[in-house]
Amino acid sequence: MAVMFLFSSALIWLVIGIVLGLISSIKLHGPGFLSQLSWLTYGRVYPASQNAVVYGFSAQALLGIALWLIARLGRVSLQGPGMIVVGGVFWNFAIAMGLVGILTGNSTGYEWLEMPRSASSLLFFSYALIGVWALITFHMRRERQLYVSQWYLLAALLWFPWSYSTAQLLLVVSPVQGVMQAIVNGWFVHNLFEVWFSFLGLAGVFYFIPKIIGQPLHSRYLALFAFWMLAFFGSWGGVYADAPVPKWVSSLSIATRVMMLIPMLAIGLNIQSTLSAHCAILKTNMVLRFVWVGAISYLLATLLGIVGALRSVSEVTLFTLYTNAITNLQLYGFLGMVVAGGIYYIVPRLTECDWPSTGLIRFHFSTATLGVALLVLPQLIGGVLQGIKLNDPQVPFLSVVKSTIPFLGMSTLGELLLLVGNLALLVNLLKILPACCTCCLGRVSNSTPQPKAVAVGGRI
Amino acid sequence: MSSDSKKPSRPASPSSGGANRPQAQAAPGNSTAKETEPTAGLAPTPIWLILLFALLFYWGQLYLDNHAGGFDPQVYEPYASVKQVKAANPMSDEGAVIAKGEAVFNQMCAVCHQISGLGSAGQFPPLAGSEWVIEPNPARLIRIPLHGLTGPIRVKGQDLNLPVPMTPFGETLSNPDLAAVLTYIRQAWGHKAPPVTPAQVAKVREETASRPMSGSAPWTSDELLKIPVTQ
Repeated sequence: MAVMFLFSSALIWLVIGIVLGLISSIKLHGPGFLSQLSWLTYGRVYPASQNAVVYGFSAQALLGIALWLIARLGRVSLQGPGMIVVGGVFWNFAIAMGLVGILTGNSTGYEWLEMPRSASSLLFFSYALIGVWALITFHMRRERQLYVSQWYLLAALLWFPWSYSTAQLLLVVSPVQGVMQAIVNGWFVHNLFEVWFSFLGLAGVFYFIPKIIGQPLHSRYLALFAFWMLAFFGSWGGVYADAPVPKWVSSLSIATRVMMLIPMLAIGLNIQSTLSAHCAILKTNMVLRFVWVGAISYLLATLLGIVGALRSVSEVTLFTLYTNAITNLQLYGFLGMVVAGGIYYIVPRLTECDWPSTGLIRFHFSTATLGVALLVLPQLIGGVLQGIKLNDPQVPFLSVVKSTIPFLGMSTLGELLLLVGNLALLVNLLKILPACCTCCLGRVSNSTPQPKAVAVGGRI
Repeated sequence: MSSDSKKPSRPASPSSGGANRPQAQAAPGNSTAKETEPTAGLAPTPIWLILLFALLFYWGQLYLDNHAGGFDPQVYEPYASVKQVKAANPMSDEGAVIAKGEAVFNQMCAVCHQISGLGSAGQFPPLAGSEWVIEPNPARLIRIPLHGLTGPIRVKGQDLNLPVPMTPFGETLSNPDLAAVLTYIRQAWGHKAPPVTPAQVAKVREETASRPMSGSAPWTSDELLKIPVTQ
């Protein structure tokens, strides 16, 4: 099954991304670590890690969940699974090419667009392959009544090709001049997170929470309201308050960023009202716990982003660990947790097998939650302290740098915990694949091309 | 998520999504399962959220009004208006001369020579790209606005006969003004000729002191060409 392929390879990229992130994190407090290898210098390892997690893991796994949700909610089987697997293979190939490109020093130098042009073209092409079949599946749906998640998914499917191709054209293919580059890059990164990833992740949140507690989502209107607010205000931000650009650009960015409070509140209210009477399920259902932590991380990251965008706060927090903390909270706290919940929910339904080890799932949840907290909190606190010291001309720069070391050390520990937790998920997944091959084979007579598709997943 | 972790919490109703395994008839991966999919309730959006939205939107407009520098691309943080930006970036002497020359040009010269410096075919010769303007030694160029110019002249390879003599400015413009406007036309429109100094203008005034500035003795092309420029 195409979705299994995307999940498995996404997890591998997650592990690769976290390992690279761990290396870059260690380098921050132990600069001698691996310093003689030019491939693994900080300027290459850090973007490589980010790209592996963003495109390899988050994007790929979320696309997998999106495909499953589109098919499930439309009550049709996934159209063109073969083409999607081909697209997935190209996608992974593109990321491998891109990471090698970044590590060999051929980065484009734009945040989250570091992959060299050949890799990013291939990435776009494979996205098109996957996206077209997702849209066809959506079009073929038998259940005509649309559920909330489907709006978010459909918008997300169209949002990525638009923002990605625009950013590629304006930055890499025929670059715009001067500060326009910074504006386009900021716009792209912001759109990728605040709109694309948010839409995909929230589609999952809005599906899994009501599904698991077996109750309808609190309000369709609230979700619709949040959807349009996100789509409208989410795409303007991304330019820092003190950026050397025309002032109205950064002011507009700040004003729309503050408007994001509205969708944030609408989403929080919707989730809270849906869940409030059923909190007991949180104690026992691991999927719900993952998704719930993910949703909270999303709300928290949005709030921190809004606060950090304000002029007076940005004066302190810009160029500090604070921004890293938000990125990590979004990547590992929101997307990582929602994706893990989604995988734990979907895989048994695809393979008709139970997860081999419940202990590993609990272990993953504890380590991942603790890991996110350890990764994010020290960076938040350390970032604010760092910013206050940086703004004080009496404090020498080197002592500011040195004072961040304990916080960076804790972050490394958090990253390590994340790695261990996600390895638990990977182990569980690798165990389920052979097990489900046998259980599918038992039933092969009445099921369609499953064994073959599982084998595709099994190769990874 | 093995069964033991979930089953206790799950209500017995078949609509529960907490099922650990798909329903029996669901083929893996295909979505034709008859499981109930989530629906959405119809609770309205609370009015306080809408009001908060209106309030924030209003704030946003005020914020933009106060912090967008009139949407002028020249205004950047931390300044609030073009005026402040200009005050914070005083012009260099050279820039001030050019700005003054441009003002004089737009007031006195652009009527005939146009702001574009292209003149008007057959009537007013072009300045943009003219060899008379960008000649490194300004000895001939300075004489033209001092006393005016008349008769046939060859500019950019084209012969033209001025229908009316050019107005002399020797009496209306001071040496610094003349120097500024000449410097301006020698550096506008992509020209890169060296500037003209007030001292150079003063020197030419001295050399031509016997020539009336009332417009009764404009220069001709032949006269100007006799003045040496190779020094």
